[in-house]
Amino acid sequence: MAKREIIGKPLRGSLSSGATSPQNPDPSGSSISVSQHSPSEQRPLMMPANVRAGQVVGLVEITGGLESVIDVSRLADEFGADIATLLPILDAAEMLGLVKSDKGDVSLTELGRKFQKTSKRKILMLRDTLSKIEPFKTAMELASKNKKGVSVREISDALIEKGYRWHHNYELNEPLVQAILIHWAIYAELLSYNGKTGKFQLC
Amino acid sequence: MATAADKIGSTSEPVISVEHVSLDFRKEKEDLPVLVDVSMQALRNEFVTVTGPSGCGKSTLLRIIGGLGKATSGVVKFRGTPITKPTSEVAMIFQNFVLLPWKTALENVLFGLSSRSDMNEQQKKEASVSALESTGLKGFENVYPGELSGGMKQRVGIARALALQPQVLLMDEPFSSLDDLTAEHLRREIYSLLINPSSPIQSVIMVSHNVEEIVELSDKSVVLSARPAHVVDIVQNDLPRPRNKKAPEFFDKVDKIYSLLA
Amino acid sequence: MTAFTILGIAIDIIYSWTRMLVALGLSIVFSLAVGIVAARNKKAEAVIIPLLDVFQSIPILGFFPIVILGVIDVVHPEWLGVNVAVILLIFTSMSWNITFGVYEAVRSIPQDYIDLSQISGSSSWQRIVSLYIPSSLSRIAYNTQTSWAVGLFYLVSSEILTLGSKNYQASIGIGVAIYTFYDTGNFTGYIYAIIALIIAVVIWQLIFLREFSLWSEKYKFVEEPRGETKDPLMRVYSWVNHRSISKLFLIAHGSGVSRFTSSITRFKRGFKYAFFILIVLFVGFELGAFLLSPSPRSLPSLATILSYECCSSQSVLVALAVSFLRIWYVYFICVLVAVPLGIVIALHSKLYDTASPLLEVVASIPAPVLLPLFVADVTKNGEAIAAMIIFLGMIWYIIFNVMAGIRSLPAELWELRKGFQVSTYNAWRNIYLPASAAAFVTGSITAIGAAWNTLIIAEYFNLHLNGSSKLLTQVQIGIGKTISIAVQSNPANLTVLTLSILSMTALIVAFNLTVWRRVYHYTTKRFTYNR
Ligand SMILES: Nc1ncnc2c1ncn2[C@@H]1O[C@H](COP(=O)(O)OP(=O)(O)OP(=O)(O)O)[C@@H](O)[C@H]1O
Ligand SMILES: [Mg+2]
Repeated sequence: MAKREIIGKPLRGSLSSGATSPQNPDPSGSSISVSQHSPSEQRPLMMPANVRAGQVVGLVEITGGLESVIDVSRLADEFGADIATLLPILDAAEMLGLVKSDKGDVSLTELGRKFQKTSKRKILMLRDTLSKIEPFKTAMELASKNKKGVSVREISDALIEKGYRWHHNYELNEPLVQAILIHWAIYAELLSYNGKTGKFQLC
Repeated sequence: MATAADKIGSTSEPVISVEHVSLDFRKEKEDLPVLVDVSMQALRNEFVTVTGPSGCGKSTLLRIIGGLGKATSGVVKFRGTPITKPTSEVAMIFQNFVLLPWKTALENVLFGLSSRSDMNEQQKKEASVSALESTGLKGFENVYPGELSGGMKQRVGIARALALQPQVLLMDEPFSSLDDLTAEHLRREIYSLLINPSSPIQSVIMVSHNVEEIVELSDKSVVLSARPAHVVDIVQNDLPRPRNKKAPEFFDKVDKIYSLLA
Repeated sequence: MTAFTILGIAIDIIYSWTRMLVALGLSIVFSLAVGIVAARNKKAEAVIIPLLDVFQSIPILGFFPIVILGVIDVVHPEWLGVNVAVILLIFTSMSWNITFGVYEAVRSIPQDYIDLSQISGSSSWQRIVSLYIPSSLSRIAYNTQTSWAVGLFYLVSSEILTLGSKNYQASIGIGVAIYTFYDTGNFTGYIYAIIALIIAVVIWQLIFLREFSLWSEKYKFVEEPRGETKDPLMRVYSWVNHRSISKLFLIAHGSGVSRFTSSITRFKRGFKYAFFILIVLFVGFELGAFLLSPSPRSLPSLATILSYECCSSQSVLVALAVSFLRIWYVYFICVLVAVPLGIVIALHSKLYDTASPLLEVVASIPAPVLLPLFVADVTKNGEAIAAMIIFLGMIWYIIFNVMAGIRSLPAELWELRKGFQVSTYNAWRNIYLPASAAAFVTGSITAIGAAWNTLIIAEYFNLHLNGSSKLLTQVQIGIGKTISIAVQSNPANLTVLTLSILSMTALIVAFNLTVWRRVYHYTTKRFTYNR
């Protein structure tokens, strides 16, 4: 569970999928000590794969419609989803500062409440937060360097280089990165994407 | 909050009127009656749902309304004129989206406009871009369907229908191939997206077997019997919007429809 | 003039079928051995699978002349040698496909069953007999249907090819019979013999292959989707999952992404082995042929090879290039005919119901059998006749694949077309043509593969029957002609033969790996209709 510490996040139990944690390419664990000693130099968080912006919006809306603090298992009931589906979504929402979760009790944050009340393209509120999270951070850095845009492959390679991967397999990592970028970065208008060229550009 | 009753013209002529529609499928000399004397109306600004046991003929009815299928007897009228073939006044949204994977989101929407000889390319493009924007897909114009999630695919499907500026929208279980969360999210937006003062859409007819969804969205719900389908009852639903799914009135409606289905 | 008798033709068919059955039996034994080993041994898999891929893309018919020379040298008496060569050829056409079937079947046995057999302490032999073989049966039966139809083409072609030489001839067989009727001027006999062949194919299909397939069903673990059409004859031409592409283009193959990625590196490594082994085989074979032949041939110099005289002074590589262009221009004509035809037939259910069985029957006639119908003045029309044979060898793959592609589209696309009032022009451009693209590419790959095979007969064929000889096909230049003439020169020019076949195989494999693979990738990725 050292992985959890890398990203300085509280544990929520073993049920949570490991997808949110960057898998350190360097097993010596040096980055762990870095993050422990100087929290300001924390590695960026990782957006879990397979979580869609719409799901986080749905989660915030449902949570907001219930009592102020709600148990994870009840939340799952309300969703009609199982806990395994819910947890990565909860992770993402928490990472974005929309919900707080404490030992299985979930509540909306101040930002979460504002988010819930906004009516159009709520995700736009999260642009800054998202741009500090991987894979968006790296993708935007690369895109800002290349006016013609960057391909998923380049982004995925750069991320793997930095120790961020969503799948241990190199080839399968690309579609996951692509999906995360499409489902978040375009919504948040951080990046634009052209399917014909397969390239992401800065908005 | 607007309800059907508040809206102007709900007593005027129906937008869609299904009159004594019956349908037999002929199968190896034997007739298979599917619809028996089905009558219903969709008024201005009405969101109508059609429900019934599985295999009873809901899709068949919707196809007839859309001019895709022919009734054995009876007529479907759009503003008093019988519908015999598909028109661009009546647009369709499919359960499985039916997007062409070799076309981008924008191209798919444009493709839906290919029969519109009254619009030039520029107008078509503008209509498509704004339809995509209204369904929340701004920025996704050049993305291929294969790169989109199910919910987004259905949004492209909705945009394709909206770009036609139709007066009637037909939807056959539009949320049923989406996961619960995504469906929930889309459902929340759909009513105000379709029925609002700036929308050309005057009536929506949606087939669904999800009773909660029906009570959440409908102004009126047509309940059909098992095959051969006839109309069991038409349930009016004037609950204020947005609807609180926890409210006792909501449950009452849900129970009512369940009891009709049983 | 040889008379047509029912008994006579029945005997011919029985002879031919016996060759087929022996080859099938050998293929099944081979497939079980190799397929099971490949499926259960990672190291073997890395070598076997890529090797099979290469074998699949080799124009087997091109090897026939070399095989027959080699076999006749070794196996005596001569009639036996000819039969062994024919059977060997059919075997090579049948077995790869079945081997892949066994390999996939054994790989997909649920782990539970394997665990169970391990827990119960059964020996590996018991496991093979009680688990691996039974679970392969349904795939064997299924792939046999394809293999049988392919084998039939090689049976008839090889029987006919033996008639291209004075030195060794198959004496009885349906291919021989058809050509004998033609040669003796008995045109009705010729037509009857073709009809008899068709009837035999259809009856065989109905009684043996179907029963085999039905019987094997009960050994299936799970219902697995297999191709769109249940019609066996049609499946033959829509090998979407069963021939070269499935493995050669493994990357796009939908059989589980995880499986693919783990095998991609293995695949690359294995491929090097495959080339190496292939070359060793060739060199070995050539050496063997030199040593075994009663009159050792002298090794020609490099200059002789490069300027090998076949009719005028043309090098092997020029001949190869010319054949390549020939195949491609015929292919384009083929596409212009087959794609619209396939789409139109598939779109109209009534037309489809009547036309498709008809097409299947016509397609079941091996193209070389029809050659006599086109024979006009070979010296003037040689190029056209060759084009016709190549055309007939290719067109079915494209038609049937395009048809299968269109028929597999869901009805909702039709609703889309109607609901949005899409014009015919727009529907063709935006729905039908793109929707059939992936199937079309699959068909094209197999069609081009088949075309290389037909060259042997299409480019130069000299029929020797009853002491006389008749030139049926002849082109100016072509690799098929180079091969045929190299075989017939006395003594056979093994060096040119080997060089021709090697360079032809290298070209095909290289083309598959570079061009086709990319095209296949792209089309399956972009043009596959799924939800
Ligand atoms: N083309 C056809 N020919 C013959 N029978 C048909 C045809 N289309 C539909 N049917 C039959 O008509 C009946 C009604 O079908 P329909 O698809 O309209 O039902 P449904 O209410 O939409 O069902 P579901 O809940 O599964 O969507 C079914 O029993 C079906 O088998
Ligand atoms: Mg239906």
